Amino acid sequence: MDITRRLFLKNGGIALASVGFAPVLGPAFLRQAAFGAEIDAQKRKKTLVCIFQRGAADGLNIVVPHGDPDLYRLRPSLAVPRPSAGKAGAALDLDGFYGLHPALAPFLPIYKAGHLAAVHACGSPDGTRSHFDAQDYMESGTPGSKRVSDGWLSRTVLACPEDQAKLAAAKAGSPFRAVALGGDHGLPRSLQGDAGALAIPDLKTFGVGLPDVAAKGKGRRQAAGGGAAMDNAAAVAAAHRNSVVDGFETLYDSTVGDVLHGTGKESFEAIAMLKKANPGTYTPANGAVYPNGRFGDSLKQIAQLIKADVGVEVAFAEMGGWDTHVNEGPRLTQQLREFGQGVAALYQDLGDRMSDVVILTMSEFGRTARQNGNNGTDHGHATCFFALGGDVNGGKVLGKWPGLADGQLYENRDLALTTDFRAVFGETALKHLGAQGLQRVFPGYAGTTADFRGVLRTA
Amino acid sequence: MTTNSRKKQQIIFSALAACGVAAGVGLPALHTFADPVKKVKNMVGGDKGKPAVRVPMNKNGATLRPLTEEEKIVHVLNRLGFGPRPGDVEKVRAMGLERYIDQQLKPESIPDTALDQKLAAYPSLQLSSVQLSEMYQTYQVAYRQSRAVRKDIIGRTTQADAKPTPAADGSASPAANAQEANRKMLAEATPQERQDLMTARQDLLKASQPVVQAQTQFVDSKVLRAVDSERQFQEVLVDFWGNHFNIDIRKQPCAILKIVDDREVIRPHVLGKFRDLLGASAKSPAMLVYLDNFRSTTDTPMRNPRFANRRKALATAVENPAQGAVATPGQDAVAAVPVAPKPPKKRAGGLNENYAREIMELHTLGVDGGYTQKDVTEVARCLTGWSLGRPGTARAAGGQGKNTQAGEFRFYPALHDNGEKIVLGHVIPAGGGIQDGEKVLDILANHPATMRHVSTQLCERLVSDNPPAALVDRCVATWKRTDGDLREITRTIVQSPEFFSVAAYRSKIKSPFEYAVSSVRALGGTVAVADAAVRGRGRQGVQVRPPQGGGYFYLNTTSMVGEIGTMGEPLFQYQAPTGYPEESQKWVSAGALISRMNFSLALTGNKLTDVRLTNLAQTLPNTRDINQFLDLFAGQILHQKLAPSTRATLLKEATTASPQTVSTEGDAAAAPRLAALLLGSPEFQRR
Repeated sequence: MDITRRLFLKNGGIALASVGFAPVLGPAFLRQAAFGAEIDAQKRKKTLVCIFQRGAADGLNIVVPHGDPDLYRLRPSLAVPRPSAGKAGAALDLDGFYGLHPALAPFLPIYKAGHLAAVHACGSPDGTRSHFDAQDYMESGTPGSKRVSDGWLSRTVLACPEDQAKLAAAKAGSPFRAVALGGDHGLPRSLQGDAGALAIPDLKTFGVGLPDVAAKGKGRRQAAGGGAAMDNAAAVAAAHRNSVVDGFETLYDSTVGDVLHGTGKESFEAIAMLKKANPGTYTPANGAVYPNGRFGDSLKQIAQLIKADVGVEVAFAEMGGWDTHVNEGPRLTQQLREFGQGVAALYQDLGDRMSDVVILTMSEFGRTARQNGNNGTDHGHATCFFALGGDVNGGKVLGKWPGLADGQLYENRDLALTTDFRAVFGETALKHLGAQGLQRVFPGYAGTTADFRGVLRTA
Repeated sequence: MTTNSRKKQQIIFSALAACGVAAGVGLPALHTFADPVKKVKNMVGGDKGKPAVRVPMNKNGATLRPLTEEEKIVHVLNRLGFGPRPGDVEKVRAMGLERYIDQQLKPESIPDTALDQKLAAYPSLQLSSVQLSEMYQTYQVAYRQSRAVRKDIIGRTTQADAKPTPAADGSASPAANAQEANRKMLAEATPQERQDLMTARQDLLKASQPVVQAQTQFVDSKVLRAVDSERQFQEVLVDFWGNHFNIDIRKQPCAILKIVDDREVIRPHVLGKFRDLLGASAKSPAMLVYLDNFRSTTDTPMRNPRFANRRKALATAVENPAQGAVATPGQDAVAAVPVAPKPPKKRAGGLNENYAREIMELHTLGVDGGYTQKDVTEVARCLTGWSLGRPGTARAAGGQGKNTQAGEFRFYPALHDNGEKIVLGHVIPAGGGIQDGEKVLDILANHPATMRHVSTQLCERLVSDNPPAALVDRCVATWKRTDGDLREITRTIVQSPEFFSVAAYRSKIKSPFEYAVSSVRALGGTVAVADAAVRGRGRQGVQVRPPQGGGYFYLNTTSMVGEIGTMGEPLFQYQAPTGYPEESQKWVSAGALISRMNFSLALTGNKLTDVRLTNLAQTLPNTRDINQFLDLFAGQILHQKLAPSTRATLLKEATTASPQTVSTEGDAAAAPRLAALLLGSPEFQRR
């Protein structure tokens, strides 16, 4: 069924492309025939940037429900002070009930501009408090089930209609349709699957036998004392290197039927495209300053790729270190400073392009409502997500507040859940990227579009 | 036409001929090597008749051919070790495969003097936990001191605007702020203050050197042992169990405590009883710090004045995590060894469930092992007071310490929850003290879910990503019969038909560590100890703290450890307690593949500072016939026949990129590039 439908879509797309620019006549009809649903014909190519906060970010200290007195009862020395306290370290008021952690000050102007929304008491309905399981469930998009082997972003990409821009990207064989930047290792679970995706630890070192790689260590020392003879030797070395790189390409090209074949093919395609895009010299726009370190670098490189128009639909970055069991105060401040500055820099850097981009943040679960014996918090349940972008129905904290009083807590210890993460992910997948079929992206999900929280503006 | 180009023509012709033969006749053996499972399926597809005798089948019902003797040897060298060195296959054949396996299962019987001599260059590996803790303690004092001096100056000079530029407007990075603050401070310091600062900085440098050296020597030693040890299987198992009981050395002081964990917890027990390994890990100082159990206490500690000091020490540990103003993710429990205790601000302590959860989910039962949140809390209660000795306050003030247990496991009865607990249905009566924890370990080590979970993981490492259920069943049976004897469970696996099956053969993708080590071994290379030891004292010599922003130690150094990190497996630096994944798929990504090709270029270009490849020229096949040369050279590295396409690629590299043919008598310049292609090839990514 899926294959036929997909094939039909592809062929339909080709037909559209061959008709040329005819947005009024054919497309709407054809699309209706194809999906049985109306699609916004004006929609340009959209990009979703997902940021995973690994380690369970403490939503209660990030978007602070300072209007709930129970917060200060449960966290006598750990809660972020009320804005009215007027002292350093107090929350930055958003709407009289919620406030931002002061380290998230860069979010405030974006919130006020109506381009940033938070969804509170959000997360996975599954009760696991294992990082591993909870991350797995959130990334597979199937809480409680481990039988689904691909990730929700991979399925989203596959569920997206092949509009003209996407078709063009697909024709160019864009290996950058789904990318993960700066990850620790391998492709994140969210992106695993048939859509094909690329994990790039660092754009700068992405390539085989690059001169800077070869010049490391001994090579550089030898080259320093060389002269003309060395230049000649360097030219020979470069020729040899190129021929070896070609050799690699041939080797991987010919291992048909092996899992390594596809990966090898993607690798060399990506190298070629990146060469064209020339990301070597990149200056962030609009005075954006990314924080130093891996997280900031990965966001900067996502901006590079988006601006290079290499066909990015889904980009993924992650930041670790949210598992604040001990001495949470200063640690979380440091985490949020890097996080807030990075996300705000990406927003600033992308500028007008943010009208086609949504940045969505997520974390596997929240933390205990009570502080623990080590001035930290343990593994909890619901937490808080952010969404930024031109399409975002910003300037609001969305979702229902469940309260922190006795009897309102989940298992008498954690912030209860009022928004299933799939309602938020699903809304961005369907309404922003134009994916078709909520259950196709989230198999087994009982929710409907009626459960969406209004994270995105309705056109 | 010169002799050379005529020769080239002949070579190309013969290569084409080889392709033609392969395509026409099918060369089953050759294809089977390239893609064993698929080929076997095809063979069955063509012959649907009932087999006359029962033959092994895979889950699709396809018959499986047995491995050849040569394949069996290569398989064992790839799975019970980090791949063959030149000559290893012949050596194993001569002594007999079964004898070799038996010997590898008794590593203590294998002399390893050459390695031992090299290891002598790493004296830090022999330091006791007390010595290592003292070393870290000295560093901590120097660190605090240098920070205190800075703070004093900043406090005096910039009281009005003590806070660095807020990052609120996104105008400056934290690092830029720090630089700016530093510049300002230096400009306004008095000469005496600058002198103090310099002294403090020198003290810090001096104090951090042995710490950095110890952790560098330790991480380097993992590579050295894997490359050079004759006890190959032991190193494979240490890698496996070290990952099973994962510890991230970026959470200080785990970097130095991991030395003890490796030497006294993992290494001696990999072929012992599982209960002993589990018990050793539960008391491992590095594990106690990594998963926070050393902080976990009863909510109502005994108010015995005898324990007042310890309560104070613990409180200080909690209040002062000894992080810099700029903290680093993955580095939270820095103050395992508290310094200069101040009066606690409030009662410290309380239950911490971190270790209790992971010991069940990861170390024993598995996530589906049938435990509840209640069990997690109960296990945590049983393990309260399992902590480590801390140096006395006298040492912190610069005097002689009295606590000889510093940095070693220690049970604190006053911090233990002595109430009754119920763990997985077992009642643990009140008043059990340290025995509560021992009982928990007994329950977990002997639980059927543990037997299955751990056996499955061992099979995944040694056999295939989806090991046959029947094999796991037999492991569980061995476990029950031998009371969890890991030597016998491991033997069950490596002597099984499932292990020696076509389905298992070359089915695993090497981890970056396995890939790098097997590459060096395939070229007959060795680790250069002296250079490696120097590296720790080099430019990075003062870094006890990992790079900011979730960064890793040793990345971007042109060394084995650095390259392994770049390829995606920074050694001992996996943040989550799960350890690195076992599934082959996880190691396959475009970025990772590219870094592997880069590694093969760096290695064969002799650019790694800590590898010696003196043998490359000696090990080249001695023949003038290019085809024969390629076969021999490829056989030496890949241990399989060349696929036609691979052969054509190699031939092209040997003949067109270089003006002369390759032979030991001719120009051997192409040899490193051929080696690079072979090591970077898809075939070599498998084991």
